[in-house]
Amino acid sequence: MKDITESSIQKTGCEEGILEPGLMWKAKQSTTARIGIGHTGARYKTNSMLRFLADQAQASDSVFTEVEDAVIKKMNILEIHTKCRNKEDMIVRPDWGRIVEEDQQKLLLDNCKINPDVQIYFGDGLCSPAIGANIPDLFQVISKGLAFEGKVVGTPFFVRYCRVNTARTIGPLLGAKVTCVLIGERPGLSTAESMSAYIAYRPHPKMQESEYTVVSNISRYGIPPVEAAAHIVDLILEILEKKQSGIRVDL
Amino acid sequence: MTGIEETVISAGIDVGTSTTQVIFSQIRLKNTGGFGCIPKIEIIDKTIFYRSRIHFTPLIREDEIDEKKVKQIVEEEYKTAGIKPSDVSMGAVIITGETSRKRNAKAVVHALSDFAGDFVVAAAGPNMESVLAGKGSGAQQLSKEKNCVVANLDIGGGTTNICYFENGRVLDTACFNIGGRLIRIEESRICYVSEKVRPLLKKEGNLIKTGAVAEGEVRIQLDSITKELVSILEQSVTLGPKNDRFHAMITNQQITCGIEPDIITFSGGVADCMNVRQEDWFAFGDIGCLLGRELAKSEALISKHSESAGETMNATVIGAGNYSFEVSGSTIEYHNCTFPYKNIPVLFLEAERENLNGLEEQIKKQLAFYNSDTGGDSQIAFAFKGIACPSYVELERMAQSIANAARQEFRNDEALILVIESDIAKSLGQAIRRQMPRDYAILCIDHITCEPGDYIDIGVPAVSGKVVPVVVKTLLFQN
Repeated sequence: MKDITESSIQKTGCEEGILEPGLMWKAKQSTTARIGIGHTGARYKTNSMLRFLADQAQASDSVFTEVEDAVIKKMNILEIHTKCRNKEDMIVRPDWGRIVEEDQQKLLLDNCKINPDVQIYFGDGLCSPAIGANIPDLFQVISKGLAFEGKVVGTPFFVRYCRVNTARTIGPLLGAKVTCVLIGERPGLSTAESMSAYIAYRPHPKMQESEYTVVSNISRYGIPPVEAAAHIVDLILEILEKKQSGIRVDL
Repeated sequence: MTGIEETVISAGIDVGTSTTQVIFSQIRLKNTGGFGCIPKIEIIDKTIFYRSRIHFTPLIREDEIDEKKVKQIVEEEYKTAGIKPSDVSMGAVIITGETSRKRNAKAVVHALSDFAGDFVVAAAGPNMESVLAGKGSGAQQLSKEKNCVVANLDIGGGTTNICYFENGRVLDTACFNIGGRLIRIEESRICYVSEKVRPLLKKEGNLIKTGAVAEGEVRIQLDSITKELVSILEQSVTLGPKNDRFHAMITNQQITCGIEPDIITFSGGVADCMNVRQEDWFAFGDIGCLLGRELAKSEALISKHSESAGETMNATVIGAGNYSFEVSGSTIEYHNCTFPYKNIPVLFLEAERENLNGLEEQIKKQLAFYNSDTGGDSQIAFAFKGIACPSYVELERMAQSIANAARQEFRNDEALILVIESDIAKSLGQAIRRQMPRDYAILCIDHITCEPGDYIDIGVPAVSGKVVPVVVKTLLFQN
């Protein structure tokens, strides 16, 4: 059976009743919104409806599937988890997704470099496929770039059932000046492997959300991972220099 | 992080066949990338705040521009506008039409660009002229708004520059030796007949000669020449079968895309003469008014004519001031550079995903070829399309390959300049830096499209150093 999600939304349209199809295709190039898809009476056409359901299923899958062990193994990194026991916990208990319990903390202390300039770690967040799709390219470029500038990069690891605010515990625990969480972002209908970088200067339990510097929409459909990584290198260098992150820094 | 804005001043200077003009504009650059996005610096507004008087281009002899006087005109306009050359961040000096064929044209345009501001570039050549006039006239914008093909005919003193735009994109250009000042008249006597008009003169019984009084038979011959010129313009935009005279009047190239334009716009001095009822047909001392009148009579041209492009006389100078430059992508890498870089020849590379190692060989080959041609002491730039969304491994492969070539082939005082189309400049630039000595000068920019044989100018970084202004020029002075 043909996978209807294979062709891009921009190339899927319906010219029926359109006076200037050329103009419609041009308009479609400028957005991933579902315009120019036709209609039957007040309803979607069958194809549009199926595509909608398929994309939604894909988005939903990327939230509920696990990052496969093989992916983590291939990266050869340590894995820890938050207080959540499974994906359902992750959704219904956002607070647990921020808690790193003592046994897991000990794992980090035993295995990771202490007091690095920059601690980078990876979280599944709300999009598991983002890890395998982006981390290999993203992390290499960031860590090579920082090392070239003489910064000590901490030991990378993976946090299962991870939310951004694990950084409030992990940052101080490992004594990093800057903590950078690379985490899967809530999927939309147009991409199910996007990732964000949340970067904070000396995160701590009482910090504000606005103290994070964010780069979002990292994926082959958005900002190319290697180019995003190069930008993140410069952001981190500037944050290290200004000893501040988030909206108070004009980057 | 968001909303960073910067306003810079640009200058446009046009030294044309008959007139010289200067304009100044404010160019607003803004980071339009929202929160959490990587920066995206764009030009959000261009406002012309000063238009000079229209000066006659001073000549010493028929084949020599009066460099001193041209400079004086420009300097005085700067003074009147209250602008110092150091205030001007970008822009272009363009030398157009017959004036670009004077023997000191190159010296004049370079002298002016040196005076006019740090990053006011020298531009010339019929193609560049056609494109700048078309953009300055508003034809480009019109084609974008109407989503159609617009042909702009910029009819000046010495040449007619044609540019086709399709939905905002340059489709084709052409240039013809057709203009208002090909024949000049002083005190009702012909005082100059350009070489260029020779193919249209009668083989027998030609009366168009210097000294002839422009009345009676002479006037009839003048009228038939302007008719012929307009007929060639019709042919130039595929609105009539081409004849021998058509080919004789081509400056460098004709339109080859074979498309009939949906809309035709006119700019240049002659465009202003189209609807004027003249008491004295030689009011400007040339055949401009006669040509304008014939143009207005051409049904083929007028049926597609639109006046909504707007700019006529000022089209080229506005093109030079507002449309000669673009900004690079907003994630770029540069280190140890001495800006601005001017008139840098571009060598073109092909980067295929399957053969990224091949870049080294290509650079060496291109350099050897170029150096044998020129002696090889000048700064050059390499351009390539790049690959979309490379992996880390592919990135390193490109960087290694380019760094190898640079280490072996480049002199120490030369910067490694890379101009790329796809969004990879910062990551590639950083990766190359990791392979090179620490103080090595490197400049790596993206979102810029070049063609083989182009020249590039790269200005001082703007908007907190995130972008550089760039001018891509097709061949400078063609011989």
